[in-house]
Amino acid sequence: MAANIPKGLSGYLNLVALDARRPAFVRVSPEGQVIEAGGELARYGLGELPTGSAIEDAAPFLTGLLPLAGRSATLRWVECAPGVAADVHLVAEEAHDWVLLLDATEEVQARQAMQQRGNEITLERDGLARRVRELEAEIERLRGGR
Amino acid sequence: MISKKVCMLGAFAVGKTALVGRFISSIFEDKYITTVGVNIKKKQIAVAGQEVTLMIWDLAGEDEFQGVQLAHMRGAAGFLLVIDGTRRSTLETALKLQERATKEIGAMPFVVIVNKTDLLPQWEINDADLADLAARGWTVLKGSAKSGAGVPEAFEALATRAIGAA
Repeated sequence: MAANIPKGLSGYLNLVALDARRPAFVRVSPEGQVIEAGGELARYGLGELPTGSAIEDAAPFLTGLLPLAGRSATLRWVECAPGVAADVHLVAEEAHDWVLLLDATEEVQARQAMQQRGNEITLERDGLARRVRELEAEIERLRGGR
Repeated sequence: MISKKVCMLGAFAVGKTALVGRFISSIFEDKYITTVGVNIKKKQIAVAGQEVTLMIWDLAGEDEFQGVQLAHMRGAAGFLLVIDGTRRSTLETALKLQERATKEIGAMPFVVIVNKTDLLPQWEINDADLADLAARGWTVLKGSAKSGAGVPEAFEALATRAIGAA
């Protein structure tokens, strides 16, 4: 698909995507130390990440996830900082791992409203079904008493 | 300092977020607000003579529209399987989630907490159900995010298992 995008447009698309997703990245050694970092780190509560620092100290949400041992993964809609959600892309390469954060805050907020209403309706429906069962049981009890 | 990732797993509206809120901050919010994706909270506790930092991944619950994203459980040392005592369907969901998690992520320690003991008269889960879970060798606790009953015990039981001390 990407091969069909004219060259002149692909650069523009790249800028649109970067602007919308506000990427931040960290390259991590197998020992969990920062090799390099950049992008909008502060947005995700990461701030300064000096080379050689332990990534889990700065990003506790990575506890248990690194090293990737060759298995890449994507974790969607992870709260990385108060009010900020990101898609966390964990990319395994031979000598190191990449952590790529892409902003998903707007998507999460839009979904929250829909999911909230959907679940509330389900709870109301289940509550009504339970009430119907209780009433039917009561009717049976009254019939039995005749 | 040991740090362990643990997850909250269960159907929607069983009280996963409320249990985390009670455990982390001793607060309870009565209003139901659905979780999208995953929220992460941190708490340090003493378990088996060690200080352990729990990174608690509060996963969005299983509902009719979307299944739990089990990929979020990657790297976890254990999970709290939450059931709402007033809704029988959440027991069935919990059983399915436990099976799926074991199949997709692998076996790991977990503790069951049946939430909402503050609403005991409305419970659809009975003693036979709890006995059935216990007969599987599962650790089954009862609690209430609202009153706080059983909540520290559940997280301590999970942490003990997560560090391999159980």
